[in-house]
Amino acid sequence: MIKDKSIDEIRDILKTNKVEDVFEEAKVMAKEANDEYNPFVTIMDKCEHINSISKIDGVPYALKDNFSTKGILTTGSSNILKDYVPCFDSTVYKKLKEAGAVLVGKTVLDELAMGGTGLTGHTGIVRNPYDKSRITAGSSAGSAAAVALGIVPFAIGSDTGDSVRKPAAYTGVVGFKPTYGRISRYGMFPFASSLDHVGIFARNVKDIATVTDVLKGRDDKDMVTLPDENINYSENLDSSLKDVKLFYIKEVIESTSKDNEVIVNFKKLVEDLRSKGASVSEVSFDKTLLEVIYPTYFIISCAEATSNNSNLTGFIFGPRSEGATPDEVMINTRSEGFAEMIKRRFVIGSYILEKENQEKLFLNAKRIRNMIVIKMNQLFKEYDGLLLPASGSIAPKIEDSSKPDRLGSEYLILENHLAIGNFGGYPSITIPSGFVNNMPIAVNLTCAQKEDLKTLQIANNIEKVIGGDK
Amino acid sequence: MNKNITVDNLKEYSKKLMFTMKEEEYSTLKDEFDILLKQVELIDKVPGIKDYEPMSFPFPLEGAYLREDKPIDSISREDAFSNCKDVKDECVSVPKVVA
Repeated sequence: MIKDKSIDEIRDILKTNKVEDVFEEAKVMAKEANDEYNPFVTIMDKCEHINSISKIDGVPYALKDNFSTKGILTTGSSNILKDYVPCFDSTVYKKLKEAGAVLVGKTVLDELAMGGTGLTGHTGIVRNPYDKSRITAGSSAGSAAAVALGIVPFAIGSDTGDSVRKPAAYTGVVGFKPTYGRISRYGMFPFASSLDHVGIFARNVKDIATVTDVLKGRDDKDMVTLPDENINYSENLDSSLKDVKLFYIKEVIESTSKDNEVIVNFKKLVEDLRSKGASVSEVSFDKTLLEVIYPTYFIISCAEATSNNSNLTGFIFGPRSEGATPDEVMINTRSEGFAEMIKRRFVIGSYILEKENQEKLFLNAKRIRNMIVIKMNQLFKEYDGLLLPASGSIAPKIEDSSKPDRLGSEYLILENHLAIGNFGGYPSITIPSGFVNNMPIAVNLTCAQKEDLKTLQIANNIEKVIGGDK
Repeated sequence: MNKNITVDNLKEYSKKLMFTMKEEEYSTLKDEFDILLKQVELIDKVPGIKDYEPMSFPFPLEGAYLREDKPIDSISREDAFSNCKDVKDECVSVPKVVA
């Protein structure tokens, strides 16, 4: 009844069916999917529903397991929080609950959202719905898979480098992170606070807009949140591509073979958009800056993560290991609770933050961030948006990602450019653009800060041009 | 900046962070450090880098202000202790450090 359906389609189903019955169907699908693809840490037993007049009243959804949910297990997919049950609600969960949305389950992420494969959650790897031998990408792996499998029409994720937009690309769904501060992060486990965003997965751009309408707005509990502009995105999506000025970055496109089918697909889309009246220009961007996107992201995020996770001690919450002294308790708790990759990131973060290293490492990375953002802001004065392939390939095989998230020596510009969206806090959306070898591929649109409506309007048009109106 | 990171250095860092790692994990970490330090050199060589201020947030924060110093949200003691493994006399209990 509800499999693969959009929010509007499920709202139609709810006209003649009970919310509880829709929830039960989603729950059954979630349980079946967990055996094969492992998207969920927790699947809800009971339908908890508050009546509302919102557009998502009664609609089932999934929530990444790094959002606090009062009384419901919230693990961050880490052993260090494997039994943690929050005593408060994140703002995102509270708003969705008050809007009548029905939580089906909490989804698997890369441990504490620090990863890009979906392979490092404490309950096991998340498999790609299109090919079980491939990754979904991460860190919002389970949320992407839950939408791609058709269990829920939308799911919530978090995005610090590309953690919504990359898994959306690999699983063939739409993934959006609005402007930094558009949606409150209160109650979302912090990874790198200056880069962290809430993100949304859905089957189409309209559903993304509908959910963003529910979630956006000022929250005094997250000091970076923006005042609401009081614009309803979902009711203002219609716009023309005529006079829309887009650009792509020459050096990103040329960083791979021109025969790469992802590039062929991208260039066809560019031509199709031009034929519909949009202008799409090729723009040159300093390659030296593009090559340092990943180390810049890595340095800033490791440093902030080390600080943010220092509260995981085992004393106040989370599992506590045995020890003869408080120090021993804490060392044993953290040694047993964090997986290897997390520890490596913390050690690197700690090194970066040492007084004698801060100038050369932390502050220089923050200078590069500024250089990139200033350049992008200049481009956004001339253009409405940046259009690029979301990734240079289809989802990799699991065995090829078996050394997850190690810093590599290659400069994979096409795999790392999405972090620009986090550096500048830009609204950024991934839209499915076709298939290569029966695996989904996607494009990404990034627009100027606070231009969330424009981003969704252009994305809505791109979706129509691609024919993706699923 | 110490560019010659040794496994002993890494053990010292992890000790400060209050965790231990397996020997083979330190080896992986050392490899990662070597790559990181090479990439740091790339960052260092970006022309004009010193002309730019370090960026801490994407844009100036409009909503960051000091609120009135009044309690607005609080949780009960019961909730605060609800995830704590050892509570005695309304306090978090830890092993004794003084005999």
